[in-house]
Amino acid sequence: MNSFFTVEIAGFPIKYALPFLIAGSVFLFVLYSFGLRELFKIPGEVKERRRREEDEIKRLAGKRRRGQEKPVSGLKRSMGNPLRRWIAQGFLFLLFGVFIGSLSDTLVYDRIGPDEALVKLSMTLPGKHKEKCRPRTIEENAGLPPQLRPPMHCPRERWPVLVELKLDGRRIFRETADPIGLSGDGQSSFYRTFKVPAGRHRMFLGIRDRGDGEGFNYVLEKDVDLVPVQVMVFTYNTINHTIYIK
Amino acid sequence: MRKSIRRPLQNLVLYVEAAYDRSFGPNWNPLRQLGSLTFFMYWVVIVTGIYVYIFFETSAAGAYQSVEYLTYQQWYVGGVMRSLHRYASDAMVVMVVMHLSREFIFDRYRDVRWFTWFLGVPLLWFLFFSGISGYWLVWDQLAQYIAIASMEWIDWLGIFGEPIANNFLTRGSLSDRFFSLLIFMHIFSPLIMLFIMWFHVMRVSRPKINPPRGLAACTLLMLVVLSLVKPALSHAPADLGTVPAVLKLDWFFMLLYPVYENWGGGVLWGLAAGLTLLFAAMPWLPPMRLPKPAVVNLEECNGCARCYDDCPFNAVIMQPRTDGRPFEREAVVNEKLCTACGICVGSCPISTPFRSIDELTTAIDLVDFPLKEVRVLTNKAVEELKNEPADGRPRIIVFGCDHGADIRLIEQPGVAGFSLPCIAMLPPSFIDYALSFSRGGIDGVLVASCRQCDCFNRLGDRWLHDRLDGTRDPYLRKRVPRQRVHVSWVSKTDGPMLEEELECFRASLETLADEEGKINSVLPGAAPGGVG
Repeated sequence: MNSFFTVEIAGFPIKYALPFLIAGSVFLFVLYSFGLRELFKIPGEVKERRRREEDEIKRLAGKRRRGQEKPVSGLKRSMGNPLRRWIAQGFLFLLFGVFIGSLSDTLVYDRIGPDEALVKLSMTLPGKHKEKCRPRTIEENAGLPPQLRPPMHCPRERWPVLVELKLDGRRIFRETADPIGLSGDGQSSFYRTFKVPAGRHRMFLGIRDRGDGEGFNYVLEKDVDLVPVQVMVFTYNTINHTIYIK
Repeated sequence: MRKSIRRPLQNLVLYVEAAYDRSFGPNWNPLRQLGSLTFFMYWVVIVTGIYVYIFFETSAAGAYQSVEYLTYQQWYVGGVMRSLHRYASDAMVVMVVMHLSREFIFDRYRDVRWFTWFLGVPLLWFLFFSGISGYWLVWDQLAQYIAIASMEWIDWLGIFGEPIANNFLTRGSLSDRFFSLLIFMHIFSPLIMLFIMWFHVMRVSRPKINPPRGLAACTLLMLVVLSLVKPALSHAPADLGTVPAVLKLDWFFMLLYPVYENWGGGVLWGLAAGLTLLFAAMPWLPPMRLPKPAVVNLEECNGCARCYDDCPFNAVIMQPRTDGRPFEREAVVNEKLCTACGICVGSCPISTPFRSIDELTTAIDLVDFPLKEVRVLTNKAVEELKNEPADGRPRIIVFGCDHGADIRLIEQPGVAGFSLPCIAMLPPSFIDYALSFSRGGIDGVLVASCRQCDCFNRLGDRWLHDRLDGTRDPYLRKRVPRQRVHVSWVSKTDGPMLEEELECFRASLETLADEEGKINSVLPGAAPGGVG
């Protein structure tokens, strides 16, 4: 079996063609079975129309050959001599080719300066729950059947998450993201990019995932060396609850 | 307001097309083959795409290398195929944009044409997506840039719990499965496109989906030459640890990306959604007011189906006879598809002015401009010409087209006529009828049609040509002297050309009169005008 898949035809491994051929055949078979064949059938009336048209053209062409009818004389738009026309056509095709070729990949787009780097902030993390779990009271469980009486009441709603990013002591980003979900119990996401000058910088990233209190729960402050066009990513590991740089 | 915007644009397009006409001729003029050339480009993209796919490796590590192999090791076939794949896609974008601009400028998208226009809107999105997904597959720095920018743009909507741009965060974060998904989308998007393209053209009769072979061959040759002279190349391999700084964008597909970077996702979504809605709603902004649709007069209809054959919008259908007359079928007009162009009136064999009934009727007729009105106007023009002095010059009756040159521009002694909604509304028998007065002084008939292959009603110029040429019923009778009939293919901007052609025609009629005078002097009693 292995040997079959290593077969090459003119340097081309046959294994690459197989999925395409199989998928293509299945696709065409399904289309055909679901009525594609109907599309390719020429309706009887169209066939009849075509036949009539062809007969008529043949009949009239025969008449014309016999000199019974002649085409109407009419001046056509002047098109010059053939050589000039061919040259003009060539020029217009050339013009079109140059247009396609030049806009296809010739014009350069500078996205970032030669001495700049990109800092990405990409993190998705859940805020802390707004309320802690507490035992349910007897009154709360009173109306429920015995097997449906949970011992604890755990509200799902989470706090929004605040993230702040500083570059050399200057704040360049501070945003609070609400948790997703209709009950506000999902994660909060951040995705931002910043162009910064290449070189050595003091970076600070703080995260607060609880609503009460000031300051940040998680902080990373570090000196980083950014080389031109480098991408540096700040992210957050939700398992060990640490900020780290990639 | 609309006319004030459209008219200068129409004139501009007509002048450019005239220049192309002089080089390519009317049948080959690529500006009138934009739809069919788009189809052709599509097939070029499909064929070259299949070839490129055979050698393509669908993995993050192998994709770039397989494309580089095609570009350098197999440049003579694989490289050309790759370049053709790109350039034909670009050409397709150009042709699509020109096609829809042209339809807009000439107001060929409202009323019965709404369906075709409306289906063109999703085609734009599929074309964009097909192109962009193709660029991703190369997985070079350009692919990296558009992949991340596209994901960020989608993330702006906030519909995903976690930003999908995170899939491109760091080196090694991209999986091979992603490439499998991408190739799937890149193959199926054009297939869906093909289905929509099929629906796009199915509502009209005889859609042009194949350009003239010569034009197709020359266009393909141009693209092959471009592929050899300037082969499509990749950027450096993608590296998620660095920013693709200097990029050579394909501006045909990636024009929106700098917009995104400079103005943000919200503006771009607003722009994209706004333009999509605007384009989709354009056929009703405002709705076109067409004259009343054609009506069938069953007492005259024998079910010959010529109107059915000639209708450019499939508005005439043939159904079993309902009035008990001994004919198999009868024509029925689908009012929703009828543009009241009158082509069906011109195709009806009963539409002849020679009928000796006071109130001229025919089997299929327009309500607002019936055939009897055409005969009244013809008679009026003939009377006018007979009664007014022509300074000894030939007297000519002119049949014009509302969408061609304005025949009022050639008003002068000895010339009279009127315009029809479409020149193919004119039954050839009216030319015969007008010239039958030649004993009374009408020397020639000038038919001023719109330019060839540029009929507002799609097929009018073609049917006129074929009817006068004797290859399509109802044709001009052989007794009509062809020297006394002249057809001018003139648009709204071709007034001077029409004037020039009228002058030439008059001169030829004068020469003819001189020759006939000589014959008459030798053979007394020969009929002038040659009608008999």
